[in-house]
Amino acid sequence: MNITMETGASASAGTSTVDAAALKAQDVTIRYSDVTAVDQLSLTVSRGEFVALLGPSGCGKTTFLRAIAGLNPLSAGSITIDGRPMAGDRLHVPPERRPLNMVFQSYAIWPHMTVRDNVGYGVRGQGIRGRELKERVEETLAAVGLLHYADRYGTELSGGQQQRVAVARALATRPFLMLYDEPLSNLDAGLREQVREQVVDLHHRFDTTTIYVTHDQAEALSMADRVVLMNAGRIEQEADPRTLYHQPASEFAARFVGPINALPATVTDVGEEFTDVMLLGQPGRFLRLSGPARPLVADRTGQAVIRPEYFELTKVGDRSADQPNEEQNVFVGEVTRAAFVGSRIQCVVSAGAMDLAVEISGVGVIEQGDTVSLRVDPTKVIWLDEPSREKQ
Amino acid sequence: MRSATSPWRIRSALLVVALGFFVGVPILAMFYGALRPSSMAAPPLEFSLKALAAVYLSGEVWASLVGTVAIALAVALIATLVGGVFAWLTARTDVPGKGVIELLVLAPLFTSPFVAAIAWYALAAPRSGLINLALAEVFGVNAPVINVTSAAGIVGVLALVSMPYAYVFISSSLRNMDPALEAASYVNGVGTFRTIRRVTLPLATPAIGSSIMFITIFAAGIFSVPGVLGRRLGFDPLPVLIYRAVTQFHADFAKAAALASLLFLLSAAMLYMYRRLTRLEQRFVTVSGKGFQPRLLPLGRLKPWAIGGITGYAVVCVVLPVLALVVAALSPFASRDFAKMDLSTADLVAVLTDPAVHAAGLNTLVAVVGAALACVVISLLSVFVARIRGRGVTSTALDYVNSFPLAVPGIVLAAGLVWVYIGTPIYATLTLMIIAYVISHLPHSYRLIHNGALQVSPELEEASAVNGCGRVRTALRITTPLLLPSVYASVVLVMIFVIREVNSVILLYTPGTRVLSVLTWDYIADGNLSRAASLGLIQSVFLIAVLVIARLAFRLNLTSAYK
Repeated sequence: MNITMETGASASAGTSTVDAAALKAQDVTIRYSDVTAVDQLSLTVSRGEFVALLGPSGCGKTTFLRAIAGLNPLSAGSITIDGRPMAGDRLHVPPERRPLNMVFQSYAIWPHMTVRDNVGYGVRGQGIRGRELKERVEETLAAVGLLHYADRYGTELSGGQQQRVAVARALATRPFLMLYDEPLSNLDAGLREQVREQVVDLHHRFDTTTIYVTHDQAEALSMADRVVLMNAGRIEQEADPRTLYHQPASEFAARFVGPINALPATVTDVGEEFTDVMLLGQPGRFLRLSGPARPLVADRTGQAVIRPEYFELTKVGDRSADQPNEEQNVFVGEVTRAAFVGSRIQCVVSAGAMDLAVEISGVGVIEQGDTVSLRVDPTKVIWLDEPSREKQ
Repeated sequence: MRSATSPWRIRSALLVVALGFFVGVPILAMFYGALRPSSMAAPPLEFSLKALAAVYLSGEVWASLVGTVAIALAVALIATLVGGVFAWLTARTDVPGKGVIELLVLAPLFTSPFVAAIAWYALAAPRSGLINLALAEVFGVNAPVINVTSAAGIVGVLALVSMPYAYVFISSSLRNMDPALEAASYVNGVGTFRTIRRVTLPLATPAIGSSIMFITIFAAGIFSVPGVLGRRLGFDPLPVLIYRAVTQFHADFAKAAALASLLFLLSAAMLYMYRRLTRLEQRFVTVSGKGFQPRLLPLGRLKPWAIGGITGYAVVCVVLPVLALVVAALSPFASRDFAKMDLSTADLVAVLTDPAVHAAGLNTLVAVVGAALACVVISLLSVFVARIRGRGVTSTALDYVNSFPLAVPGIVLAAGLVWVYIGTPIYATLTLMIIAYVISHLPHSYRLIHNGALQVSPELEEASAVNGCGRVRTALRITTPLLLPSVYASVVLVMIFVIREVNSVILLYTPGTRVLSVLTWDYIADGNLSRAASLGLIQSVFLIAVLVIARLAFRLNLTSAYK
């Protein structure tokens, strides 16, 4: 695996041609009185793609999604769906005339209608009546496994069932673009995983293009073809889930998708195949990274980032921890904390002045007080330049 | 804490029973009174069907009932329509000045329907009304153009004073609606107006129904407005009939009680429907997602019309009545000619210096403070006990007992109270009037404090308990301080309602226990419009003073507290 030296934007997987774009947002800015919720954001989504908008609360992801739906007006920029302009320069096509449908966080099941009427609502609006309407509704309800509940009222269903009614209602109009606004955040953990699979399955079965807002990185990584990570109204990085996880473009991105060890360091020796960096505050302690994708500059400071599960851990009996680490990329230290969480063991290893978070398979036996050696492969160490240089 | 021997089980049961007696016994006594001979001196166990027969078998009474219901329903429909339009304008359109609109719409809530009736009499009485005089002066019209002493006039004035209730019901329903419910309709391809018709309106239906029911009960039980305006009506609405039974030459409290029982049954039937609807409404409450605004409809070219309508409303409902009250207070002699109208402060000064007014003012003050405090104490006790006992029979029972007086128009309550306390030292005292005030305003103070308590998480009290504090200390140190804003709001609201109240005390006062509103009624009964208007002005100043003090001293925005 290569160390990414790319900026986030160029890591985009949007390789498809512009004409095929299902959604094209250009320099979209959304301001409320004095807050800029979305800041010059550009995004292209291809037909059939499943894109997750991921980010902490308040990052503007829901506002952006609502702007795509037409529920929030733009302050600047433009949005095209399927090649047709939807918003921009004095243009605002209302949501009811956009080729899309949406699943809301609160589900928004109309309590005065039955499940059948909820699901058939938009279909009727398309002028479809009689048998065709009934078939469409029942086909869609069957797809989410709720055909038996067609004549109940939404409020008589459980949260998970209401959520599926909301999905069915949105799919029933056979939208070109499906929008999901944190649809699983009100469900129990167990149910959530089940519904995740179902949503991805429906995405393929109904052959839609999906934009899915979530603050849960596991949801985004497991469901999406591409994850768009947002922070403070801008795109921090957009990449396929694996790239985002293993080659984050910033410390924010690295931390948001999973735990990391971030070790401040200075580049000392730039080589053809490997680069050596010296850990700050640890004179003489070097870390080797594999060949740079972008030339690293000597003396530049930054962070060497290692995810807890990248370490290979071996017990070293109780031969002293202060034995010199002749080997490259090896840390010897004492386990100060070890938490067994079933499939994994999460521990903290105190090596020199550093406390390293380490995660290993739960099969091994590691206990507090053990002396261990940690090795990390140079290809796995992520290098992040000091962020002040250039904001992407 | 829920063991059978828990002292709170007994204490709460005692509270429910005591409160139940307090608010329920007057109604039982009313039915008892309805079965009594017309002479109150008759032995306690002597019964007669005379009063019941005179009421339930009388064509005049049934005509009155039909007329009362017709007027009340018309009032409810008009007030709900207009209030609903205002609620929709402020909640779902881009109409400018929403704060001002809301203040204007809610203004009648803090004025007295009785004073409004006086003002409108001064404005639009067929011969002496200022509007008619002005039209005669300017256009030379001879016949009266507008006549408020008619069924339409009564409906109009009652609709004006009850419109705020409709606004409060419907606007809070529109505001509490999850905006995603409408947004979901848009993304399903359905436009603004069909969304209003198919999503917004159906979801607001329970609130609209509640508004119609509540206002019908309210309007059917009001004595003061038809009392002032209804002399040429051809029939007396039920509350007026009750008043006449008591004030006729041989006061007939049995007939009053029988009449009251009819009005009570009418109200109870409507309250039953009202509660069914509010239960339906609770089913419609949905968990809201994020706080995004619902779509605001741009009024576009309709905007001037909306602003014009609102301005017109402000002029007709606020500016004109106040002006009329001032002019009426300053003109001791009803004039048929605008130009020859003599303005004099004589009556205003006479009223201000009248010892009877001073005495009534003192009585009012005592009654206002006493009633407000009693209401708050009872409401707080009920809320504490309901919280200690949790959801269940006790809290439901307390809810019923505290809300029950909503079904009891003030004049009905008074007709029953007479039969409870006659022969006791309380009879014909200010205390009896305070009891009437407390019972009729308990639902308002309870609702405010109850709603305030809903915002206080039970965990705050549980945290006090695990820190070693008992129930009473927790109530005093944790719950009460957290409820203070609702307590202030409820004190002020009850004060305002008591200052303006006439309906419940009109049967209970004696010359020594007159309050300001009763004195105003006496002036009206004597045909002295100028003095009545003067007192009405003074009363309005009192009300505004209470509101301003509440706002400044307690930072209390009563218009938002009431919602």
